[in-house]
Amino acid sequence: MTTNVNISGVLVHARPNTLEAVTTAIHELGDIEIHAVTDEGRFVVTMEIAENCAGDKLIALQNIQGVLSAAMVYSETFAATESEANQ
Amino acid sequence: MKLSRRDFIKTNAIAATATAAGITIPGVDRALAESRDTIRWDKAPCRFCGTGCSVLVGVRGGRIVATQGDPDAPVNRGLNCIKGYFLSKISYGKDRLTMPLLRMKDGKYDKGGEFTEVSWDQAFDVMAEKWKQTLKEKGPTAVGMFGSGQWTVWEGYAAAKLMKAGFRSNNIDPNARHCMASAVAGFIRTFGTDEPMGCYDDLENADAFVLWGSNMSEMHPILWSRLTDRRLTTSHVKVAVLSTFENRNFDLADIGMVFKPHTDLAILNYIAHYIISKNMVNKPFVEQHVNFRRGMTDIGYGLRPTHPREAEAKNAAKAGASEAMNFEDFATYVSEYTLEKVSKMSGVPADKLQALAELYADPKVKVTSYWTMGFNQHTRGTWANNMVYNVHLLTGKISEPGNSPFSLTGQPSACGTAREVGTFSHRLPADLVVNNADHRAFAEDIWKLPAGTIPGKPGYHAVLQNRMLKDGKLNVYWVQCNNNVQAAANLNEETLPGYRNPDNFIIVSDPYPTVTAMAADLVLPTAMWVEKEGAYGNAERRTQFWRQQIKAPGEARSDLWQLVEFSKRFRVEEVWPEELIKQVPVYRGKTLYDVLFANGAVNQYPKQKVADAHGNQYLNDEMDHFGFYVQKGLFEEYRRFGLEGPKKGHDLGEFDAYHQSRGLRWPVVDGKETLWRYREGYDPFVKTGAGVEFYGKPDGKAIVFALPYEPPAESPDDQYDLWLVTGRVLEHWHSGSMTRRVPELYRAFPDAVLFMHPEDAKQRGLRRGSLARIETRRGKIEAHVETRGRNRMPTGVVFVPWFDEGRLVNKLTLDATCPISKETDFKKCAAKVTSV
Repeated sequence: MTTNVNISGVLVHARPNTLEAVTTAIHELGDIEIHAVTDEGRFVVTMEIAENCAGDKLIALQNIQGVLSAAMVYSETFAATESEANQ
Repeated sequence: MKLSRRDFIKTNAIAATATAAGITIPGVDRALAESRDTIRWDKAPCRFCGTGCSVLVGVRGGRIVATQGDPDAPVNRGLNCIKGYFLSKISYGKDRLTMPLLRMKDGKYDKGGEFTEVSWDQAFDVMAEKWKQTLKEKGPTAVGMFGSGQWTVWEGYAAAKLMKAGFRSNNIDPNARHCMASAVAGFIRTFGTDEPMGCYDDLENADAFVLWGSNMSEMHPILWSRLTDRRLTTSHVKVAVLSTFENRNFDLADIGMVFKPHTDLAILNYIAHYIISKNMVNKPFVEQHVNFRRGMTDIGYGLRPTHPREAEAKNAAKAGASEAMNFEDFATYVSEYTLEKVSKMSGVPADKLQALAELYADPKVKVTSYWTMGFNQHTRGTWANNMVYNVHLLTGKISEPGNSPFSLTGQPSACGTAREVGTFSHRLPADLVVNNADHRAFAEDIWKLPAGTIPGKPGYHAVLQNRMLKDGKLNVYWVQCNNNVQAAANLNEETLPGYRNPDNFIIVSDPYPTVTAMAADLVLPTAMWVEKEGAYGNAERRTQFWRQQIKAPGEARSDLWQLVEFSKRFRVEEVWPEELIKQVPVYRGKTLYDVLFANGAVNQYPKQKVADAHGNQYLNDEMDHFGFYVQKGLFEEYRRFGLEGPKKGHDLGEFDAYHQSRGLRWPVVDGKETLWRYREGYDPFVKTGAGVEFYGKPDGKAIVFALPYEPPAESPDDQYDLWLVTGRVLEHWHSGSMTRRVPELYRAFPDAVLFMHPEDAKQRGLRRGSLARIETRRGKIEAHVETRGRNRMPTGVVFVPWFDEGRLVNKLTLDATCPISKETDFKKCAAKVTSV
């Protein structure tokens, strides 16, 4: 069985004094990996999620307290086999 | 190591994001070549707002399968907002229109009939018949067109030419009238020429940003992300935000100010007064580059002349008038706007107002001001624009990196098409106007037309078009590329009665069955965005091109095809009087297509292959159909207005240069773009040694206008006790005709809600989630109450977004306009809210 999975790279800006709380909140949302954080408040994250849930996840990401802006950089959807989708 | 498809994509996502963030992540290399073997990527400007982000469109098997922010684009540097992220889906809504639909009964057109599929031939037959009959019976003032800041450059140009030269009617206006007209009037009044002097590079050069009625974080998210980056990485940078309610921008604001609606006028005069009283005027700049004038007051509200509020106004007929004054008189004029008085009027604490004024006054602080609909959709919108320029001119903080008053646009080509091409009822291309005989003569010369073809009287503007439809004076009306039944104010009283007036025939071209299409008599299915070759011009004067990436579904055709093909249906004898034709006898018997498009200029570029630098081939359906490169011919003819026209500084580059670049900011001279206008060293049109020259005015000087606070058209009272503000949300673009068809965006914000203060809700027996009725003197709608989230309302003010066709907030709004710009004030009317 295949399902459409969306992988997106997102650049997040957050207030520098909220980095820890924002990091925690991002982890709590799930399906999002943080790859880098800078002192000025830039986060490099990827979302990996069923295609039809990506919009909801991005909104949730933007609504985290302390997040000032979340911009999509890369997005691609692919048909994953069940084993891939569950990885 | 063998990477799976998933790993490839993920690596690309990380690498692209890290690049956009300016970060190197060890071990992450982009694997583009391998992962992209089957996708053809090509650049296109985004279909939505006026920021003009470039996206890479990925096509496989004739279908858009992916998009990403264009890493080589100077505007967005690889970033994309949530709407841009879902661009690949806007063409694939389930209810795309693929055939013309005509209201029919018993096999014939009938205004009361049902929509029935017809061929293009049948559609154009009926349309041409209506057009000819109306022209014959009532003349050119009874036909009209409502166009768009989303038209491509050549579509707007072809439409303006067809209407103003072909049908000899100035009744063409764009939906940009609703969003940009006050900015235009402000530019023309102060500087004598349209569009900003600065550019987005100001974002990395300013020490302070002031947002005046601009919800940048939701409406221009990519510019907001650049601004955020500047603020977070440069410790001395300050951000001031002014709005009538707290929005997401306040999260970043150093000085956040919620003011009472309409008192921005008083705040602007206070800042001018502060600068003068603290002796912070840049005197050499003001002496050399500025004139002072006192504007006309008591100018009315652009309502119907019979409206009591309009009848009261003494100077409605001369709203744009002004008289010369000197600096001392101006200083006295603004001196009544003291800190104490303005703090009381606006409700903004004195210390915040003073901190704001100090940003502008301090010569060491480079200030960029941004505004959008808060200023423009304002019954004194032209004034608000003039008054922010006052502040920048008094301090000389203008036309150099970081010092920029900057009007942000809402549509992708409000600048490039609606304004630059001149699709307004009073304009011609490149800042020319119809009521100037020299300008008309110049246009007629370029267009190879007999003298006197273009009428000298401005036509009906957007709001007047709806009134004239209702009054039966405008009878055949073609709407392209917008959703004006949903967008225009006072839907019940003004818009819908005109569309359904039995005397009128309404044609709507759209990709989707919008509210406007459903109110029409004939619906034409339209190719959208990358289903055609196109060009847009963004807010920083950047003209950007794209190639046709995919085919439109079914019988859908571009607006350009529709305009040019329809022109074949008219012989000049059917639309022009004999005295015109006898000046150019060779036009006798010719069609409007022959005269306007196959005129030796537009059709001079033969059919060719369209290819990119990698040799990929692209479609061009219009070129195939008409047999010549229509887009190039139209653009090159249009370009002559800027190169040879009487208004200098509008030069565009050659057609082919734009396909190769990520856009160029005009004026483009010798292939080089201009970043800051009016400043020597940046702008080639400034005379050597002048330093600064506002060359749109005959003496090279800009104007500081003395203008007062005057009250809004309608304010809350005992019966309607709340301010109603309308506007937009991040997830949806304007009327939602595209974004509501993207399932993710629809789900993210499905229905419009009523944002209100919890106390206001409680007083009315409501709480978060309750269903409420919102009512004005003109109509009512129902929506659920939202007391939390992104918009935090003060008491006395409610906000309803307008994207939702299930809750048409424009049933409630008043069609009051700025009397100078004719732009509607969608931000202020009186409403009451009750429990359902």
